[in-house]
Amino acid sequence: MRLEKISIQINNDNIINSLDLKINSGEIFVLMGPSGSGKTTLLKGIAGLLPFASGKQTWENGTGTTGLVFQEPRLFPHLTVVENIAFGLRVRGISVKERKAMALNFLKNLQLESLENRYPHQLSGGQQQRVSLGRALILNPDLLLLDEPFASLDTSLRLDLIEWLYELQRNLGFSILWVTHYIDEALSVADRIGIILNGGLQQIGIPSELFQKPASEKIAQFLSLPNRFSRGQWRKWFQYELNGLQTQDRGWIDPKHLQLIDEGNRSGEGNIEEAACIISGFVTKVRPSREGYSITVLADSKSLEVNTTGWKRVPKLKEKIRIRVPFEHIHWYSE
Amino acid sequence: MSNGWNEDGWKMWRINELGHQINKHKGLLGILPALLFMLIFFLGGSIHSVTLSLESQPVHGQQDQFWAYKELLNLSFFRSVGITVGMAAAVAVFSGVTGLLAALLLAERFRQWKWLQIIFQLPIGIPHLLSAYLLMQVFMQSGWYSRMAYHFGWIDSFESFPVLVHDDWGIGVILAYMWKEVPFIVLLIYPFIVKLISDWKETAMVLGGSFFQTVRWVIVPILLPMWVGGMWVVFAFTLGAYEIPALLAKTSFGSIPVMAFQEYSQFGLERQPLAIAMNLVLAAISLLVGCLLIYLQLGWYKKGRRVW
Repeated sequence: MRLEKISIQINNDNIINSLDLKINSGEIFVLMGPSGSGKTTLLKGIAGLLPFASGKQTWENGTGTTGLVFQEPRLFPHLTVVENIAFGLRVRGISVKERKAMALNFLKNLQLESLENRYPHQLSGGQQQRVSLGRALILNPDLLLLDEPFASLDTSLRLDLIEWLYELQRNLGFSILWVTHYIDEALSVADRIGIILNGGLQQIGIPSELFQKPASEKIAQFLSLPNRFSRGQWRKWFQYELNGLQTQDRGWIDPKHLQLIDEGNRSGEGNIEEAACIISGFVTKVRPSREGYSITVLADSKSLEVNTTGWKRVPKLKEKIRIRVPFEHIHWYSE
Repeated sequence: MSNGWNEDGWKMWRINELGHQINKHKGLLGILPALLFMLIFFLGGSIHSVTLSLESQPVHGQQDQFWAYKELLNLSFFRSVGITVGMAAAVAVFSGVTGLLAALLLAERFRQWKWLQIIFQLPIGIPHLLSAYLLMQVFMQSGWYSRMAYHFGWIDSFESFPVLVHDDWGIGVILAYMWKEVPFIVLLIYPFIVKLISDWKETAMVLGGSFFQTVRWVIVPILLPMWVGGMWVVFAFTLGAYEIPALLAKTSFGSIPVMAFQEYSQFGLERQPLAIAMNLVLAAISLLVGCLLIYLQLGWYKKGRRVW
């Protein structure tokens, strides 16, 4: 599916502005953006629920169909699981017998065998969302639109369903435009990720590209990239002219690449190669993480995040600390 | 004391227990006054009516307790029952269907036109007697519409205007009741239709459903218990009300409430048990229909189906 110069207005306000997007066959395209950026509006526009003010939507094979799954399952409360799944088939005029057989057959894909006669309130949250997905998928859409489909579920169930849907998509081969605000969700399924801000797609790329080279400070901020500083600040810490493109005037570094230097053991300091610097600061926050600790250090009025591995040494609050910053791990991007 | 409790301890426990019980049943306590009011008036009134209808009178020289009911066992009364129940059912169904269509239109197309909703609710405040009078003034063969039709040359004479008041089929009665009851149905279901459209229209649309399909397969089934309940209220009310048929139906129409009112007010005290018996027959029919609807509703919900 391809969108060319799409604009969508609600109450004369431009929510989507001249947006271009191409989703390839069998691809999972994850759309991310802050609240109010126009993600849901775009999905509703593609699904035909909102009209385009301008631009056009085209399909590789001339015509195409979409299926939309909302954040809440929105199952019809008076219909059973099978009747809910078969609703779209009923709309298409398929006979009762045929649509029931198709729906029952599809239950295997949804891992909902033996629940066909249950009503929505008799299902768990995860089962309800699977029925909702099944209701859209049984219509065999060319593009499945997902509007934060698992956001209302608890973490473990959410991860299970992401894995299940990913496997299902890889088996059946349909395309997905998947809206989420969970970065881990995006990274675990996306073939490509698009960032939408203020109704426009600001950057599209494969996940690693997006994190390594954010197109702007706004995107870096949205992605919650840590340790983002201007080239001038890095130059001050490194105390020499930095290599690289001068247009890339900001840089960030992953907290796991920063290394704490023990004040009691300065032996490591002598081995510092040229492409690294030492920053002194004070510990302002210590939080345990799965790998060890996440430590916030205040240096030159700037906060740095440092991740440590293991739980042996716990830095204390207000403790003076030194951090080794390897230059090669800084990712540079434009303001 | 057992458990090592002294007298004060037991006293405190009893106070706590009382508080716990009151708290546990506070819902029931809350509705108790209304429940007692309803039970006393309903049961008391019902028992009194049954007693009155069974008041014995001499028939062929012997006291007969069931004379009023025996007098009703004739073809003419059965015909009246048929006409009265049929009329009430027609009013209920026509009002229900028209009210549903009006509420759907108001909710889907004219939600921003608040004044239209207010106009729709105006007839609720008009007494039935007045609404019958108003309808008579406009629908009679010498009424407004007849004169307008004559004025525009659509009919040759006033007599050519269709007979809608005091007619053979009770059309005037049905129209007058509908004028009152359609707004009642709209008032009852409109807020729910607005909510149901906002909840389900989008969902049905993404599955390819048209608005008509959404109404037929989603909104009406979900609304069914309330909608049918509203129609039953209209049925029960129409079954027992006499003002409109008294004014708009012809004398030989045979509406039971009109006949009962005449028996009650015009033929002396000794005919009152007959009037009460007629009304009790109507009450029994109304309750029977109510019970049937509840039975059907329970069957609808039996497998676990829910609407909210």
